[in-house]
Amino acid sequence: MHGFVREERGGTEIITIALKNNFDFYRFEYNKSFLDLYAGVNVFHVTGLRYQASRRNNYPDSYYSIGSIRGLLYLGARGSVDAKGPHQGYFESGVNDLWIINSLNNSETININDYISLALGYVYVF
Amino acid sequence: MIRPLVLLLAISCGKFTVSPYVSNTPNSKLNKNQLSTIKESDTGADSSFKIAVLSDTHNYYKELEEQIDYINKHKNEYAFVLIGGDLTNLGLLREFETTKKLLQRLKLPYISAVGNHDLLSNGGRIFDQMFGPSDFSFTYNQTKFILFNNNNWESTGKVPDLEFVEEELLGSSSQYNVLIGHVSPLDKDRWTERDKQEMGTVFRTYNVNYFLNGHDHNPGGESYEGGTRVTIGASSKRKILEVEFASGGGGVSHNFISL
Repeated sequence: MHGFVREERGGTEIITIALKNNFDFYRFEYNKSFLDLYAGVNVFHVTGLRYQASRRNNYPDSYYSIGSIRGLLYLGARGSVDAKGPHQGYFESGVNDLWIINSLNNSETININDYISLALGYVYVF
Repeated sequence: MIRPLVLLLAISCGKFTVSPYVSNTPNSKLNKNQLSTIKESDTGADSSFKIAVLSDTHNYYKELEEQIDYINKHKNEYAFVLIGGDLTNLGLLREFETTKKLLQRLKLPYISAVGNHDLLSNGGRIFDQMFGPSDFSFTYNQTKFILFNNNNWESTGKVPDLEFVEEELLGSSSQYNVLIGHVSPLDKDRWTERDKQEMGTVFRTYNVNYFLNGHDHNPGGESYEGGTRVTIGASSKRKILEVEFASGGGGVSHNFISL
């Protein structure tokens, strides 16, 4: 997947390349419609950052870890009013690796619910 | 079918973000605002005072909370708090916001320098909006504090701007002068011998009393070019640096408090 955030929205232009994999674990069905629940993992890389930590040439080896790659764990729901039709919608709720680790290391200080993000999307199946 | 949707929406009540790498944040210019509060207690007179200094808070949030609790408990002992930079690990907006949220619990005003980690990703832009310029100075009770960006690998342009530092020192009529830069002037990775000599010359020429730096997480101090250089230490070390400025030219001293 490819993502793009305009400078007006993000402060700087952000280009994201992501690999996602979903694991469906339950389906609700009603008449012709359905709703699938799934868990997933998303690994994404962001290009064009200033002082990007992945530009290792600027620093001695191992000075910084690659800061432009993130992992995201999420739960999602994908459904359609017509299971045989091409139109589906989905939304996902997840948290990235940074805040999973931070909340585990600082459980009394960090509330992981403050770091959950939401994605809404449309899928055309062909 | 509706119940799982409601459940997912309910657990999604965190802040919506289009990317962890966004850099739009209100222009709060915290350093300038906090300085206004600091100035309210500045008598301009030659009177003793003490400050608390932290650094390299990174993602040591629970340790930072402990430090804040200590400072708040002893707030009558300190005039204000200085932070030596590295408020984040990756320069991400949510990291800055999380640290800022904790710092806002301080019952004293605080000023922060910029660290090398704060300049990663789009952190430089975020720091500039959230805290303000990374090179600036202020005077409090006959003591001049000069904060400057010396994260040379992570910055473009002339960094450190020693001309700025010299101008500030040249124009200083204060009894004491203190430099705050995130990286030690003796850092063996970043500075050539020439760089070290240049910084040492400035320090010596203008009789600077103290250089406070972070970056190295282990706290400690040593004599430096006629004055003193102190590594503040990371929050993970669970110490607080106190720096005391005595009236009547009694000198500047420091002490580490263990939590």
